[in-house]
Amino acid sequence: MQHRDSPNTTAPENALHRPLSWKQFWGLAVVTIALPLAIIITIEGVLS
Amino acid sequence: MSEPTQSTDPSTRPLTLADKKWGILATFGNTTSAAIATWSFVAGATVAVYLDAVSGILITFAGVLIGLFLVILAALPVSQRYGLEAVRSLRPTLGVRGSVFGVILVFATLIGWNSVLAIVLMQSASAVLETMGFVPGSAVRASQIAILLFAVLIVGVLVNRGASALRWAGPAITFAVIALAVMMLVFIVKTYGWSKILNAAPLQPFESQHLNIMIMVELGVASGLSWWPYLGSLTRHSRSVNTAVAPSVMGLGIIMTMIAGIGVIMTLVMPESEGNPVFLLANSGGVWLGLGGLLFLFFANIGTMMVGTYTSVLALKQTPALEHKISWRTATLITLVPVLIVSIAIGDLFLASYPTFLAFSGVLMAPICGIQIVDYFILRRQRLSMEGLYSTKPGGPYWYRGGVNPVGFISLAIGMLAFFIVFDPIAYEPKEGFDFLGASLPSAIVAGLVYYGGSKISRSTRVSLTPTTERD
Repeated sequence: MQHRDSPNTTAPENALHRPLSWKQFWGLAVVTIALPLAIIITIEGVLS
Repeated sequence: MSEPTQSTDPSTRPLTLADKKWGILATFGNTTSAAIATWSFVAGATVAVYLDAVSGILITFAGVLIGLFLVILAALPVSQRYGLEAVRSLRPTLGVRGSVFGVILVFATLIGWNSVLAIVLMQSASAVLETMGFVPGSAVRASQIAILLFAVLIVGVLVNRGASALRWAGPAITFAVIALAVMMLVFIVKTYGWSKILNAAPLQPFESQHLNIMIMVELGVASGLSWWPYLGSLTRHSRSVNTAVAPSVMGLGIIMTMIAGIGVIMTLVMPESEGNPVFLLANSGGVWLGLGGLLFLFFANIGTMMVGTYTSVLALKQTPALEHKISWRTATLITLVPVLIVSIAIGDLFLASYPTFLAFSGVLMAPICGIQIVDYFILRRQRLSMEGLYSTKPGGPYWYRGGVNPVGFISLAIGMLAFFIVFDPIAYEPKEGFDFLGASLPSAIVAGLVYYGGSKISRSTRVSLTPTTERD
């Protein structure tokens, strides 16, 4: 474990969090892209 | 390892796994605390100009979510994985010296946001106190300045204690503000009734419903993108991606839209309120509800100012020339003094420019997000050189040409140009092509594509991407 005041410039792989996985990416995409697009299309349809 | 980093200041070093102590509650508390403020009412008032209550709230929600998609991908994974804040995360795209642009951007943007909050707080709270008979008309200006100084003092004290203070203050403020917001919503519905709220027409919409929707989507996207500096600073404390993403979407997306929704409803049923229900509470709700509204103003705006000031101080401390020369306390003062000056000297003028200010956030943040997403996910496959991020010596992986990555800045400029081609943020006027994808999305896409192409043909970037210089 590195000292609190010493930057972890030599961090080994296990000292970092894992990268964003595809599963996490698609989860994010569903909530923040698919859902809003569905909302916009629905409102467009209702108002026009 | 060519150079151990010179940084020994805990505020500038990358956070390790052991340093990351924020769980879901702390991240939710602080992202929500950042999101909820009286600017949400102002945003809601803008929505009511173009759309009715239901479609306005839903479309704003949709736009904010799309903005969050971009900003979360750009800022969260890199900050969370490497323990970086926003400005340091710009080094791979803009270069070691070029990332100073990020300091200027974050500093100017957050001083702008904090000034809007401070102005609204001092003016609204003072007016409420006058309405309730606590302050005579002749002492309104003095009470405004006293409220401003009080708010800035509290923010300064909390930020001076660093992330440990935010860890408890963020959730505490958030739950108080949500409870008070629910109280306000109940009072509005009881006063006007669902029927009037749901049937109220937008104030000054365009003839084209599609254009009304796209303008509000754009407002939402710009609001979502404006969280870029906050997100990196806050989620670097999170223990994992899962404990960072969900509470961020909850706080910056759902709760923010809920408060903006109160502004939409309030403007539709009482346009002269400009979205702010606190005056209704002070006039018609009696002393206790009036005080509740007053508390909302304080908690909401101070909470957001606290997170914004913390983020600005952190950004300022990333400047190579300043990080060892100024203390955290001095950086806090440097961040808060301009807010005091703007609020006292040009408060009304600054507040009147709010929609333009918000649009400019989109102009700057959208291409940055596009570039960062392409750089981190496509070009670097989520692997950065920690040494390069903290090295200031020439020849490092993010040194490029003289410490500046020309490809990053050219992409940024072209992305901004793409925004201006389809939307005029000063006149708030859409141009040809706006009704297809808005302005922020094309700006991010264009900047990302130019960055990808430019990086592929730029020798300097190719050198920086060779595997030997990458380290996890």
